[in-house]
Amino acid sequence: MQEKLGEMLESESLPEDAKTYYQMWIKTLEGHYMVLFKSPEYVEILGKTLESMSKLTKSRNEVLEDMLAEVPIPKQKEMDDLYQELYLLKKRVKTLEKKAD
Amino acid sequence: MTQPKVPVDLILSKLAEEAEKVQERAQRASDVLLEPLDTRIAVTPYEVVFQEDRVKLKHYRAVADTQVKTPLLVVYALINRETMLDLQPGRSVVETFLSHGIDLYMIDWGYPTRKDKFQGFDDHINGYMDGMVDFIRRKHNLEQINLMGICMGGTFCVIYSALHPEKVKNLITTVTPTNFDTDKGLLHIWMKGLDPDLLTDTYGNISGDVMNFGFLLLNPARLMIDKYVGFFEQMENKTFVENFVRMEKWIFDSPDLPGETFRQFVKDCYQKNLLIQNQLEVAGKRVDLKNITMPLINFYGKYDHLVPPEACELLSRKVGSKDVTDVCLDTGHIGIYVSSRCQKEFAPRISSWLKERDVKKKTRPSKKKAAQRNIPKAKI
Repeated sequence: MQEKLGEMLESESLPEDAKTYYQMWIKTLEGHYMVLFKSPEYVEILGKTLESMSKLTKSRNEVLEDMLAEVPIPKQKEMDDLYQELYLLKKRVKTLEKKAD
Repeated sequence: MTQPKVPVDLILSKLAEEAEKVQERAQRASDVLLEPLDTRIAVTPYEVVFQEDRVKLKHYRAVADTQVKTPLLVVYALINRETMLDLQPGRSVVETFLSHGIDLYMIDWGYPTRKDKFQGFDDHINGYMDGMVDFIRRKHNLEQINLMGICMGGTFCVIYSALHPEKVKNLITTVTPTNFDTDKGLLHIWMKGLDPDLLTDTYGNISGDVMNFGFLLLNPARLMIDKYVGFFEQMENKTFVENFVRMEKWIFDSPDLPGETFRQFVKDCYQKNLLIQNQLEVAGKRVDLKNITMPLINFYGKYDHLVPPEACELLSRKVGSKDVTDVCLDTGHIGIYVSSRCQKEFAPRISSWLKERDVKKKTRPSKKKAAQRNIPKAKI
């Protein structure tokens, strides 16, 4: 943006309208973000950040489930097991229904 | 040497002028914002004619005589909602289809919850989609129906048409990714660095809000700054404000994505690019694109930053059909459905394309046999 403004200043073609400066800024910002987001470094860091966040969430959930083990409430893992059983049963029923059709 | 002159005085006086205009605009805007606004979306009347779990089949009420005898089933993506096709009166793909005499059905995937995290491609394509296609075929006593897919829903339609070609008369794909081996779109670059197993094992489903944040990050300058600057510049225009709010409502109405579907989409499509190579397997069956022998029209946007042309255009060369049309429109991912220019180039073109191919109507062998089939129990 500064370089562009410098060139315009030298050629005495600086815009007078503030909106034009804003549009130039947005376009430049968009371009910089695009370069950043496409860079292998960014992609690697993004992957690592998501991985770390997932591991943290997973560990936190495991600790919480351990702490709640003695409390008479269903844990997420138990619910997931139930959901899976329900899912598989429904799928079986559907397959059988289709065959019977 | 003389120093080039910065027109500071002029810039400041223009800013002062602008400040006065902003004040006037704010006054007018407060009048608009304080009066009732019509920001309803998806107002075209429909009936839910079939439901299985969270997934509903919408049937729109006809507004004109049927001009295309074969009904059209529209399959939206599992990301965001199908309401985008009926966002505002006058700029609605649904409205246009109905006014062109198309008998229109649309899948509403609903809002997946944690219990849906095991649902993958097979459940959505061979399960829900196939059940709805069969329902429409039975209802209309037809062997085949027309199928139209949007974005990920288009990928589902391609897979469905390859696995069940006998049930699809014509296939319409719109902004549909089938070739994932490209670095033109940021999504294609980012997805390659993700660990979908870890994400799905941790979170179950992928949160719609998180995905939305990711979509905003694809172009933060435009989507998080410029869009709202644009709003402030036009907020005294009631119609603009109503349509802006409608779009915001649609954007932030993001259901979660079932974990298994996310895992398969990222691993098999984005990372391994199996679909276009005829190597994708769904429920143990290989998806061979050569099985797609029905007429195909493939729409995509020249400036689509989510599904770039490179991700869409290869499909037409890979299918077995001889009646293939590629249409590249001068617009982006959403503009294809909502921009005023595309209102003339998109839905009307689909209508005429379908009409041309609707001459031969395939009926089921016998009504008696069709009647013997049970209507699914989950019907509403």
